[in-house]
Amino acid sequence: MGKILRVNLSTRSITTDPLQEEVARKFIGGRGLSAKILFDELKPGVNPLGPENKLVVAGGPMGVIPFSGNSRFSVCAKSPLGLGWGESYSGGYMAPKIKQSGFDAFIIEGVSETPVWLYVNQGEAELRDASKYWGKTTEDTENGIKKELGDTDKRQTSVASIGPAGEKVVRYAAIMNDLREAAGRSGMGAVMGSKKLKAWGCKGSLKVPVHDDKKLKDYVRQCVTEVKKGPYIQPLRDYGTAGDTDDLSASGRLPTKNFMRGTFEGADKITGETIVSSGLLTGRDTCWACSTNCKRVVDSKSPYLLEKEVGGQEYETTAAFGSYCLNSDMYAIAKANQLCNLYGMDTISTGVVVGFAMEAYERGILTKEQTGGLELKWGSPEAIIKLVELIGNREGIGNLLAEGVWRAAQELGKGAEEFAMHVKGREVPMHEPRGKRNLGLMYAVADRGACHMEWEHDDYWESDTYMRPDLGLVASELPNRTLLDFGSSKVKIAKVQADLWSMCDSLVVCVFDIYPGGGIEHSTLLGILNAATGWRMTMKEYMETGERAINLTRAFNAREGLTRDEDKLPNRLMEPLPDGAFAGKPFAPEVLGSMLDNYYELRGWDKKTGRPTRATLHRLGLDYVADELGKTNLLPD
Amino acid sequence: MNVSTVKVALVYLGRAREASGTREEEFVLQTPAKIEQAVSQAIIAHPKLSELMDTIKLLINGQWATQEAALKDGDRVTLLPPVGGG
Repeated sequence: MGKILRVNLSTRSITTDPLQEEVARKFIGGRGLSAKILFDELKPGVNPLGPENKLVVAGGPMGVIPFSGNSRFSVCAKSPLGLGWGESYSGGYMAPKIKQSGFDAFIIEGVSETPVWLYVNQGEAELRDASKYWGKTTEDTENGIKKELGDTDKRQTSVASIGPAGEKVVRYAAIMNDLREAAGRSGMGAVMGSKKLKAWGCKGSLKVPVHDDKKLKDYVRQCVTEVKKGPYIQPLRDYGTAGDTDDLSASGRLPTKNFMRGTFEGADKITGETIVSSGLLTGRDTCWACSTNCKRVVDSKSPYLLEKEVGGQEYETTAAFGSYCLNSDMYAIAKANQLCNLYGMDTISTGVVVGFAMEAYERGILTKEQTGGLELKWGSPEAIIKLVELIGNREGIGNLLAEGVWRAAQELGKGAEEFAMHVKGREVPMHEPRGKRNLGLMYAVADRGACHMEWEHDDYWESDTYMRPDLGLVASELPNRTLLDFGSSKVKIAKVQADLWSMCDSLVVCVFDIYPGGGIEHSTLLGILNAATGWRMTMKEYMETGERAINLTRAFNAREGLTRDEDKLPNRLMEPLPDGAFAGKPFAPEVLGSMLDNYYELRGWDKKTGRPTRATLHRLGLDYVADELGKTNLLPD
Repeated sequence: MNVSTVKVALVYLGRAREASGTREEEFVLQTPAKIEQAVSQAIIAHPKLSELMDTIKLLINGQWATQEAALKDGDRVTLLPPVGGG
């Protein structure tokens, strides 16, 4: 049995709830546990920026077991950016500290009258005054808190904080931890800001007992062997996630000019290899216990001041501030990335917002008067950097753009909705569905809104190499798996992979280290889970546990009024690309419609509404969820 | 250039670049030339490429192609390993 810390910022009460073993086994941690808490405790329709919303921070049951990828934690709430469910994940050193400080998860409720930060240490928690940190960057906040605690070692306390963007409730504000790690997506930093919670810090050295230490060590050794075999591991170490940038352009799938194109002539100037060869990269870093070393360290005095502590750009950031805005200046990308980290903003949403603003400016929908004289010309590094600052401070045009592309387009009108690239209010990440059919399905169905991390992308599935009979992926039973195939084989792979990655999000492990891109097999993760907990979970239960979390977030969104109508793509992504290897090939609406029908059927969801049926919820042990949906006629007939 | 040969460039991306140790190189092939000949020569030059071939996709001049596709002088063949999310 574990412990959940409950902090009410309105009343300042701090209590501890038990985490019952039955709940832990059914919902695990991370996404699954947070979905249960938020489905059970939030009333439908609450203001995501009001006191009724709750923020759930969660680790996983494998806690402090040292293997590559076991360094993530989740932050979930109703999203102020999207239409319903919000979730985000981050790495660094926070996850083991949550566990060692004595808890499996924190539930943050209410709103504080004055800025506070939460200090959790050795099973105890207290709220401290954060007035002196309010208005400060994430870096100054984190350093200030560590100084306040008298830390002598930079890893003694792990601090997560918001910057000015979160305080000013920029709807895509991020939570930054360990200076360079971001729980970036879904606006979780805005939820913190609305609660006047500036930060939390975890310190602790509590021992986390395991059921079978010997077996556990065997499985951890197996992880060490397996992770070396992951095809993506060495490229990640060498060039980081941005190493794929030029490859994506070469294959016509690099989001360019607000998704108007699939190739970018400046791709080789911003790709991971160039970041290394140019000397911009001054080091590699990693998260707790991870041997992959995919994190980038950049350091420069000119043309922009870059701080090595604040992190280097990853792929999403490289594309979002690069090709997406027609910018081939990697130093400007690095600067925009660091500004986002310091202000506390999601780099994907921020980059998409900047691209949207540049197109609006080109079309005359945004004028020079509205931008305060700022010329938002495509490819202008100065415009990108200035706009990031304006958004982070909600100054001038930044105030409108801080609302995200969906709301900004509604405000601007004049057809701006047609090039506002979002799904369910959340900006589309830097991958091109017109060259990956399953990715398009993923963007459409993800409950958090457009997401590139619901399951592994299409590229891996054409070959038999990554089929796994123990996971239900049998090559001979799954024909037609090319990038543009969209039939039953591809959708079956999507469903299986989504269940597996959902389980990863509940265990809260990094999918970069897990099959197929990383080498660690799910059977090995299951072995670790069982050795740590003493459970005898089968692979069937493991996959169903991932599936259960997906159904719970879907039920959460059903209660918020979402239906199949919201499982869609922006019109632009359904039109053919003009360039590259996929030129002239649209993602036709009937293709998406067919994939959705197929996906819902495999999931046991109603094809008309996209909602889980009672039979499906019963199969997954979620009868109470079916009852809850039934009360308001949200359960399909 | 002998009329019975063509010169083509092979472009290695991602892990293929790692396996070949180079970003791009030229091969001279006898006509009629197909991609499979170019790939065979590349594997002879860089044996580590053979481990990747079942997952690699091919392009000629930026357009998708198969091993059987014909090559003409000056073509650029790209070897593209899986590119995932992240």
